[in-house]
Amino acid sequence: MNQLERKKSPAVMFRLLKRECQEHRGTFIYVPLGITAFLLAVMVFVLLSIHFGADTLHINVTTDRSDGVGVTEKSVVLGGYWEERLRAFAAMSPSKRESELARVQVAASSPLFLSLWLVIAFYLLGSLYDDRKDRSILFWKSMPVSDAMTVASKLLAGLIVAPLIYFLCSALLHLCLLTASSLSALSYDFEVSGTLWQSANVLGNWLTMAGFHLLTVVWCLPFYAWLLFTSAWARSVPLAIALAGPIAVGFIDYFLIPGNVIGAWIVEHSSPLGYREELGRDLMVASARMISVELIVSLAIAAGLIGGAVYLRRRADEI
Amino acid sequence: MTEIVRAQGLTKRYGDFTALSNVDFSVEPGAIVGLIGPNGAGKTTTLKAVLGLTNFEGELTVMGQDPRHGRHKIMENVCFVADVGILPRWMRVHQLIDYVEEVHPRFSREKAESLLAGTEIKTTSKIRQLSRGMVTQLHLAVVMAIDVDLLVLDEPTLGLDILYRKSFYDHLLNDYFDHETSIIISTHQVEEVESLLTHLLFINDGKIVLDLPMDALSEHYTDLLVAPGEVEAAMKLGPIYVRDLLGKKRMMFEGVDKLALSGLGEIQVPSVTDLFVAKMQRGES
Repeated sequence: MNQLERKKSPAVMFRLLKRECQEHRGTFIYVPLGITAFLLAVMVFVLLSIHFGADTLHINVTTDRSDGVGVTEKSVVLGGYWEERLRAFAAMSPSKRESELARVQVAASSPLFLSLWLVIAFYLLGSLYDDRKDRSILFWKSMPVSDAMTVASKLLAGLIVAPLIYFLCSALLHLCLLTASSLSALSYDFEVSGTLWQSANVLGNWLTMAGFHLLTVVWCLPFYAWLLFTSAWARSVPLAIALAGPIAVGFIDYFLIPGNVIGAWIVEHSSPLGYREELGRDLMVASARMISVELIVSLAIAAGLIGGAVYLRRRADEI
Repeated sequence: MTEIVRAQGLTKRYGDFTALSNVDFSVEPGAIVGLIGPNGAGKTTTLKAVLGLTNFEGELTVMGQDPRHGRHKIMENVCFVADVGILPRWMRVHQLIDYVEEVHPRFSREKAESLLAGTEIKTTSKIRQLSRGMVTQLHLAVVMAIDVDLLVLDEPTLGLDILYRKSFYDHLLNDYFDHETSIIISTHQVEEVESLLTHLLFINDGKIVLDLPMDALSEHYTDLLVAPGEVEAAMKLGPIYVRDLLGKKRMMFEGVDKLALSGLGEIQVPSVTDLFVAKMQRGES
């Protein structure tokens, strides 16, 4: 038996991640690019409308006033509304401008990140199921790649690689948004174009968003691990099992256990952190607030589920 | 060198159903073993156990290792081709080759590419666009480019037309077999493989019914075309299989002295196909 040098684990892992991107290039690459292109097209269309049809186009603006006045709705001329917003922005204090732009950045990316959440969920749900269904597992298992490595590659691809691509698209979107807005602002008689760039803490906001994604990964790990486990476990319709499990547990919990602790835990750890107001927008504060016994228990449950997925994958066969 | 595969008391149960019952066999280095049996006999289960794809009872070692643990290490030295359709259909041919090159330490890209150059398969094609025959060709080309100690073929030509089947085994013998690599071929189409094999393993109902090196076949088994008038005398020697052939009787004997038989008619070495039929019929009676 001639001994050859084994392939190094990082190189194999890199290859496995590339494999996932090749197989899922639709949802990992084309979907975010498509969403970004669509949002950019809408943005260009709106800006062109402002400049070439400013007096004729009307829009309905709904404002949720933070001063407690409530929700107001009015119909305004698009061009006038845009100018009004730019003027208001120019008049803001620097720190207010910065938070305003951060809010715009997050809002602009939200279609990307909402679809990312769905993409991750469905990707994980199929990750250890689809190849059993189409029998290609027999090929994958005939390669010298360990099952633990395979499972790890699925988690990393879903939780790190796919989000990275969405983040890059979102960064592209922000840059185009800022460029286009400042170009548009040049045509007004007050100085706002430079202010836009000066006030935008683009890089800082990106890091914060990426940081919040990582916090979400940690926070929602039991949810992701459950999907992965279901994917390895199900012999048919993993989606049904993935839903039925938590619903059944929640149901038992609702009727038998006072306080509905488990049900609340399931819901909390399935939804992205970005929507949890109490954590604030500061990454350090948010991470500090997140650390708790509950988090440790959650991570232990997630570790159990991931270990279970590896165990099942080891015994897995075509179905 | 010791055996490549060694199984002792290999047993596999699926609930109440026993797929393999106390199976013993071994594969020597360089052997080409035919694992032959009817559908549902336990061939695939045996191979899956060898490949670490299923749990089992009993003892089984593949190159000294238990395949239930460390499958990925065993797979550095073992290749596997199943019947068509296990290559990932979404991949392109060049992606498949890149993948194998980057995860398999014993893969030779040049060899795979030169083997593919002799076929109609384009490296830009998607696997789902290839015909069944081409997928098998592709899989074989990839596998032949990997320098391993054991090649496992599970009904590799199932569903292929006769031309592909013929070229599959021609390639296997001419381009692959180097007297160092052991091969296990499972099939229920005996006639296709009988000229390749160095060892026979017949399996039926989860049990090994014959475990015989090919070169011992003529020593243990004799086919007799019985001379007219000698049928009664031949029957007394206890043939294991009797059939009519153009008005004559043809009988197969196991462990009967050839000298005793030669006086009763024309003796021959039985074909593997006839031996298979004889053994399977015996199992049923």
